[in-house]
Amino acid sequence: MVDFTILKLYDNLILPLESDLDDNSICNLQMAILRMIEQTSAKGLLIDVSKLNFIDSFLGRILMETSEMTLLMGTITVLVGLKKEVVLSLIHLGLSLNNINAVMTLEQGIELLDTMNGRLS
Amino acid sequence: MNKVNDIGKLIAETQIEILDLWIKQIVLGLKPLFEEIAVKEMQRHTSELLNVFVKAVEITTDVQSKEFVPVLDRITKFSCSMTQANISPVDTSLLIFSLKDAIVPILQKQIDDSELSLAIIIVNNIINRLSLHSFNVYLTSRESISNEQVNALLETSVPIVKLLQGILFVPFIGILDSSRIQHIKEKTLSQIEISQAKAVIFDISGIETIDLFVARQLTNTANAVRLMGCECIITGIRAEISQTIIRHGIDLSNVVTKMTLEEGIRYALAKTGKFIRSEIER
Repeated sequence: MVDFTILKLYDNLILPLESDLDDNSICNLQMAILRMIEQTSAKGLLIDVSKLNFIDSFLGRILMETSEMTLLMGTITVLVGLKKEVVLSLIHLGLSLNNINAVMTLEQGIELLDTMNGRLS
Repeated sequence: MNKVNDIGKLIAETQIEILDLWIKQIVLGLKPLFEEIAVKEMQRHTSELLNVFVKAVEITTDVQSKEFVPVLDRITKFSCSMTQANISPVDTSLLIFSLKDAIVPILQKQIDDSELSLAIIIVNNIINRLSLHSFNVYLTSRESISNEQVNALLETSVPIVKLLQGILFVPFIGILDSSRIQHIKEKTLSQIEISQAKAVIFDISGIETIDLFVARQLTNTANAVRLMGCECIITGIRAEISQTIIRHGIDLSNVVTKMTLEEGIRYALAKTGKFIRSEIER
């Protein structure tokens, strides 16, 4: 099992994604995220996808799914640094991206989480 | 020599002999029983049993007839007292079976050889049924005990706590099945009605996993709570449970979910216009 680096920054978790993810490690990724949230009860999760040049339909779906799951556990997920090629291909794949929060930089992500959590609680 | 039709009379005449033989059989064959139960006690049981048995068998050999009702009643009592004395239902059944070994030697002496096998079959049938009846009594008593326990568990396992004015707290513990969640649903709704609560917190951190049906029931409950004009907050959703909910496409978007009970309470307080303040002002 691949170990993912999940960093904790105050109430938020930061997960940088590397480019070489196979299907197996993508499967583990979801559980690793959920377990981490269980342990830390973080308010927000920032997934840094700026290193990824391509997101296939499987990873795309897992990311959508995971963001919904984390929301059930009280954690808002934000995707950070989606490239324009990646965005175009995701749209092309027909994934519903309505519930996804996305920003360009980590700073923006943390600001977004702060305002969202402030509003919610 | 006697005929088959005289079995009843024959048994009645030799009752004392049969009782002797029977007790001998029990003492020889079922020795371990006497560690649990006194010999005198056993003699009392067997002689009483044999009494009613003889009375019934004198009239008919059909166990299902009304003459056998007192015998069955007696066996019910006997089986119950055996169970209370911690004797296994198998031993109780064996004890009744051993009556055969007491009656058959008498039949062998007294009944025509030509009709002996028929007589033995008749006696066999009667005693088999009696023995099965004792087993049945054991099973029904166990079943009623376990039913009682299930009901007791249902009653005690759903505490609905009035946390603060207008806030109810329902912790889920153990295994969630459909009957339990139904029970929880009904109790919560009636409690909302009584206490006019504005928010309900379901804490499911004590639940490891749930199946699809229970997940549906859970959302059902949440929606029902909302229709009572009450905010529903679910806290402590575990990784596995959130996976189950999302993968099966169950929509929980109109329910507030939080990881910890603390956040849930804070949210509920905010909803009811209250907040927690530290005594020492910082």
